[in-house]
Amino acid sequence: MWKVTSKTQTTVKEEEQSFRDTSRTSDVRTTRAYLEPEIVSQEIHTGDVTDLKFANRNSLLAASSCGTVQSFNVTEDSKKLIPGQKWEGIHHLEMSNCPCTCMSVSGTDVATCGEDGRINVLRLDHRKPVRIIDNADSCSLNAIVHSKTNEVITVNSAGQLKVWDVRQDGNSPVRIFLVTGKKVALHCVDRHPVQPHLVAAGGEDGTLTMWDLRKEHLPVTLFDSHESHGPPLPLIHCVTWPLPVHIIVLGNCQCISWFHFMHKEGSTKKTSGYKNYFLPTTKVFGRLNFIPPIQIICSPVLMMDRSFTGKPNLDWFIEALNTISSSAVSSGHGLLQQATSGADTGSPWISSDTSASNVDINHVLPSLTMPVNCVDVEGNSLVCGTDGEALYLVNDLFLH
Amino acid sequence: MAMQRREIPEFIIPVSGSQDNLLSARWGQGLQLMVFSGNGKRRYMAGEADVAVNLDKPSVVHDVRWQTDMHYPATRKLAAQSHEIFTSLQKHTSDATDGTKKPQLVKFSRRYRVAMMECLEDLRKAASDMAEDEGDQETYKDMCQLYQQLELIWNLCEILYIENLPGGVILQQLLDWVKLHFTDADTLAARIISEGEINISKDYWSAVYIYVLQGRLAEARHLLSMNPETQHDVHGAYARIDELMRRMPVFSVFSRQSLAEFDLKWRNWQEICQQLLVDGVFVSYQPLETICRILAGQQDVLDQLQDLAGDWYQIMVTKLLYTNPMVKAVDLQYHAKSCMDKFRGSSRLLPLDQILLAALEYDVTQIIKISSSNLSNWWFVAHLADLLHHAGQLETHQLDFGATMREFLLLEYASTLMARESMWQIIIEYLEHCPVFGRHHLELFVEKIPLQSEKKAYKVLKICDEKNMDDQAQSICKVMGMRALQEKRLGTALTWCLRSQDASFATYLAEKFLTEYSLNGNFSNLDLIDNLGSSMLVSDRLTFLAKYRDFHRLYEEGEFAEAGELLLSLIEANLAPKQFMLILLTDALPLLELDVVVFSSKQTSQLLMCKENLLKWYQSEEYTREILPKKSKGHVELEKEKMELLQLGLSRNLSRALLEESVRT
Repeated sequence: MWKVTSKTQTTVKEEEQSFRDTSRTSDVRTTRAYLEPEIVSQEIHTGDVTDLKFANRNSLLAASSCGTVQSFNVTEDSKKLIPGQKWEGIHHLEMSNCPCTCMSVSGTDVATCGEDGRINVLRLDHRKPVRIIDNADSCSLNAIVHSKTNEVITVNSAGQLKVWDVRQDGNSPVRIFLVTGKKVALHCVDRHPVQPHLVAAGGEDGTLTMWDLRKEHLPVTLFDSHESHGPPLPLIHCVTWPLPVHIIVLGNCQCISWFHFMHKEGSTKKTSGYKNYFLPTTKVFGRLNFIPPIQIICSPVLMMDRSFTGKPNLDWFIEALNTISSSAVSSGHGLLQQATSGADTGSPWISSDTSASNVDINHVLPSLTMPVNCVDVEGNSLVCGTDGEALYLVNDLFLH
Repeated sequence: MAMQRREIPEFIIPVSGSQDNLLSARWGQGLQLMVFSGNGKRRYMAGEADVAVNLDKPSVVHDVRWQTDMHYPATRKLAAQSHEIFTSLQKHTSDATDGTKKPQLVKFSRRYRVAMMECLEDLRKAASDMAEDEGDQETYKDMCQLYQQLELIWNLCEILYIENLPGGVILQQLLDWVKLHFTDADTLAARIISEGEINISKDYWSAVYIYVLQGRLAEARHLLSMNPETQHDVHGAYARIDELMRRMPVFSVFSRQSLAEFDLKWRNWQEICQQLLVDGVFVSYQPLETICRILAGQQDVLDQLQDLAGDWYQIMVTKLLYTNPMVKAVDLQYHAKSCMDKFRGSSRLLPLDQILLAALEYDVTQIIKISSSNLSNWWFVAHLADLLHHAGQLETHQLDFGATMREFLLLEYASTLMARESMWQIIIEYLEHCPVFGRHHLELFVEKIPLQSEKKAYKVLKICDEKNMDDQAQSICKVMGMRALQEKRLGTALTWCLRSQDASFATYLAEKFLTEYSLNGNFSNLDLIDNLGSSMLVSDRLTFLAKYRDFHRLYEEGEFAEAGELLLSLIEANLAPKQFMLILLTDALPLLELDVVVFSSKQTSQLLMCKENLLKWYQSEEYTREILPKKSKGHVELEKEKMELLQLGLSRNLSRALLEESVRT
């Protein structure tokens, strides 16, 4: 659990200090110390953390590479992670455990998928999964997301996107959607925040594929982001869709792309300052989450260091961002407005013309050399974790 | 230099019974050994051969790693940061012109130093952190010391080799170097000032002296002005010394002064100092006289202040400052030698002294050699050598085993990281920049990266694609595929196999699917097989599987004519394994029994021919010898029955078809 302070607060602080303090060097030093994140709490976790989700304000769920899902209670008063319920071995193969790859939360239900091609639906306070779809997929399921309360979307390594009704019996999906052309593995999926029939999935070859679930099997739009904009960036690890007009895509190396639909009234130039924190920890893997409005959680891979610690290394970090609340509220407003305008004019994402005229692709972090594994966005802030054992916090995204 | 005698470290590993049972070991990743007691008992004494003997107790596997200094949290951060600097340095030098190269190199060097300082800071924090256990704290303290030394050496190398300013006047940078690394005076001064009332103690004068010795006259004057005695300075001694210190000429490359001009000024100034001493202005002010004697460049005063003056290299800088401020970088070595002889005496030279001396002597190879054999840190030598290589300071002579020194060091550094799983991407980057052996190491390394999850496998594959390592990519896919197969995840195995376009594996898997079908009568993994698309063309057997599945779907959907046609073409194309032929023909049976005629007379005769061929095969020697014995009697009976049914069905269909065709014409 990490604590970090937001930039807005810092600037205020900096001004105050420069009024009071004449010595420049000490000013700089205090500001720096102020910005440095600090660990609030750590908790031991078995296996690599593959996904992190908040089920509600106080309980955090962590998916593990041992096929286990563990819940933690997070209370802001105690600033501690308290291990709670554990669903053990819900993903397993014939002879061994296998990683649970992704979770999706809807109300009190949590859908999980794993490399064993199984979907589990967990309910908080229930010891056993309330629904298990064995053999849901012949190959590995890489990501899952709820589109409605009883409907989940999964993507697999064979380039298929499947829609499931978790209330129905049997182990066949409602529908199957395919990528066009070569069968590339899909690694991540997210849906439009307010129009759940629009779905974006990122693939192994760096294309972002969009489907309109109301239409036929084949994808509507393909964004071959990384060829036309900057260095080639195959293998998308993660995609989030924080606002109707933005999609953020994570790649294997060099950059995060940020898709943005420009409104007709013209675009604003975007420049993003970013600040990076190197964490003295193992890789940031799995996912990050903002707890609205003030916290980030991230998870490094668990490494066993028999050589010198004798115990599993650091596992959990939460960052508390103290003052994005106001901007979060305003972005909530913006979200609603943009949603209605999107519905009126027809969504830009599924227009047949993708010649980049109406889609603007930005690189948020241009100079990364390591794969980015996870990202989350809250308000104007973006946080992401990389294989370079570093956490990056981008503060001025200008998402509006 | 004479051959260095290296101590060979010895570790006792508490493996039970290792005296009797041979101590065995296997290499892990990089510098890692798995040590255990084997089960061959030593019987040399008795003159017998080794005999396998079971152990009394279960054997314990010991994971032994060494050179793990980059595996601590603080140093891992250093490794990550320096990796980023390293890669941008490689990229930069490949496309930079000479004009912009040097200032950029200085920047890179500074970035490395920043990373080191940050690491040092973290180590200090960790060393005083009560949460760490004592052994760790000790290690951290040792590492703190080591990194302090490393930073000192790096900074000197930066001054001498990378920043080397025009004209070669170097003193100002040496002063900065000393100021940055020896902060005793600052600590003393800060303490004195924080106490409020200035106490004229021994510490106070020590601080002033050190400031003067380090050439930090502004700080010295500041401290002096706080002395209460300056308030009633009747003889003007304090004002005089202040004036002297203020007016000391300082040479800077960037001022418009010529060397001769500066020389003149400086001589004038020092003459004034000497004159004041002769005049005895400070006779009644002992400390001030000492200061003036330092300023006048008198040697004996340095002997007196040896405790404060620091190590020989600090004394050298002080001496140069007050006797020879225009010293050229190339002449430093003579001064260094004399200072060393004088102040070190005959005591044994520490590695640090040797390294600094080598640096001042412009012997880069020697610096690297001594550092790597004494400082037990590959990080430092690898990065320093690389930086010097880019600055054109490192001779590119070949070492005995074929690689240059830079490459050798990079490889060593990379292998110290290998035992740590999370570092694999960093290692790949370093290996890639080794021109001679890098590729070879890379290929070996990539195949050994443990693949715990598919996500990691995809990342490694990505790198293989980037570096054109097709063989390795193939083998990774194969490993993942086989793993899935062992777990009976045929679908996953097939995806991996398709990714690597592995025809023989695809054939094997397709046969598995078919066997599964012939045993259970239905297919698994339909979602995958139904949507194979063009990837089914990888192998004939897979194409057959997909087409055969198509036939079933057509049949289920009631498209009998199309289904029949597809079935016939499948039978004719001979893609199916021989044993599957009967199943295919049996599949034709329901089509034959339909009310409408599906197969034309021509098609029926083709089917009949296939059936005859099958019968022939059943009677062939190969079948009776190899396959028949494996089948149960019931099975054979069943097959026979099926063949008869087929015969009947086909003949009936033939007659119906002929009839219908004749009616139509």
